[in-house]
Amino acid sequence: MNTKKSFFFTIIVVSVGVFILPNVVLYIGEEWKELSAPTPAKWKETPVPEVQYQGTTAEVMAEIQVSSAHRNFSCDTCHYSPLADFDFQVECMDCHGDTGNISGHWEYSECRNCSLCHWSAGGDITNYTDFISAGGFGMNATPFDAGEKESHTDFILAAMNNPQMAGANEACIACHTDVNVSVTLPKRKYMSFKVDMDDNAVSSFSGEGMV
Amino acid sequence: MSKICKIGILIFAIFVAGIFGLPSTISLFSGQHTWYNLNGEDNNLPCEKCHADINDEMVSGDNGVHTTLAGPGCDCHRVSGTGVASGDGAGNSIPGTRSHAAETVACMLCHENNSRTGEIYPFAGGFDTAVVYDFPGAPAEQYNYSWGDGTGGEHAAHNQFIREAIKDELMEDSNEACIACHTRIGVNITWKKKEYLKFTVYDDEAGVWTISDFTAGGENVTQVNTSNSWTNS
Repeated sequence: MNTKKSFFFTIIVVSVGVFILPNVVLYIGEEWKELSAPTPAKWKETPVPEVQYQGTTAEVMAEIQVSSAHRNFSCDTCHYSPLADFDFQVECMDCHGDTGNISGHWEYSECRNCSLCHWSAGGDITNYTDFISAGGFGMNATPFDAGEKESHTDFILAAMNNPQMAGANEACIACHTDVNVSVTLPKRKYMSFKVDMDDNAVSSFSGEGMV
Repeated sequence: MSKICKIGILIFAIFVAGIFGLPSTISLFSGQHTWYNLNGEDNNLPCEKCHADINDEMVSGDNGVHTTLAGPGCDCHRVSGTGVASGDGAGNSIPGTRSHAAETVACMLCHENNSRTGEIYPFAGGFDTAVVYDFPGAPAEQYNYSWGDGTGGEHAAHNQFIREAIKDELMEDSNEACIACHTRIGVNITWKKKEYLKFTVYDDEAGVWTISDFTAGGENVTQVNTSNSWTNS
């Protein structure tokens, strides 16, 4: 085998290893946990699939299974979703906000099991208004999503600007999952203000000192 | 080692990396796929995970009030009347409106007369609603500082303090004043005061004294700094 052929062969092998094999493993990990239930006419609790996961996704799937929300999900439910245009790097707000392809998502075969996400005990699917929107940040998750009094808006915006995860996922995951957090929170020690008896006025409220 | 052997080892290494190494990179943090159960009653997220410092203040033995409102409920920021996401039980979630997890609230939301939360809390009476909101651009959403009949606070020394706190945008409504007086934070105050009282006194032919023209004169600036008694600094 000459050098050119070896190089070409190596490129093919690397491509297979990097781009195809990981997906094969994901698929192997999921093929026997497909939820085949048809679209339910009535809301009902989807039973937790009692399956043992193997392979490299076992740890993640074990986490999912002990969760409340998402516990019936496969990897593809989030990471190969029509709502996220089948992008692996899904934003939580693709499903819970307005960044995703929400309109008409039920027309995709992947989204036919309504109760998988719109989980409700005995409710009629035709009556539901909104079950999973993360409203309250002023991000247009719902028509009433004003968010003008939310304490964590800056946290969300900082997460959105951080490239580590998609969208504001850093914030979603910090608050809504079991990951540990290490937070540095500098705070003010004093409130400072001025009182002018001439004008009976108090002014210039500010914070001073740092803890 | 022959060339074929080297290529074989290379292929094996790449397959191993592809199968065992790369898939593990799909999860950045251990635990990031374990979602808290939101189906229980009240707040189900552990706010103290990030805000342990505030929880320490809330549950400390020195805290006079609100100790029962600490985490995980964090009830001040999620009280009725706020717009936080809510709903107990599976499928009953109500998306947030004005806020999602925790709302920046005015102390008066609970402590106004006839609280709009629908609950009964101690009324911080003794101020005058008309006076504290008497400034251009006063907010449309006003809290009931006076009693229901509009009385109260006619002689409150701190009406102006409340009013200026409302005007200032550092905190919600008059929270600056509430926090300055009712918590252990330190305060740094620059007092600009008069130094003397000036008035005119004269008596007439009949020996009747007239005292008039009371004014304050001079100027003194005093700085008062009080330490933070929570941090002792």
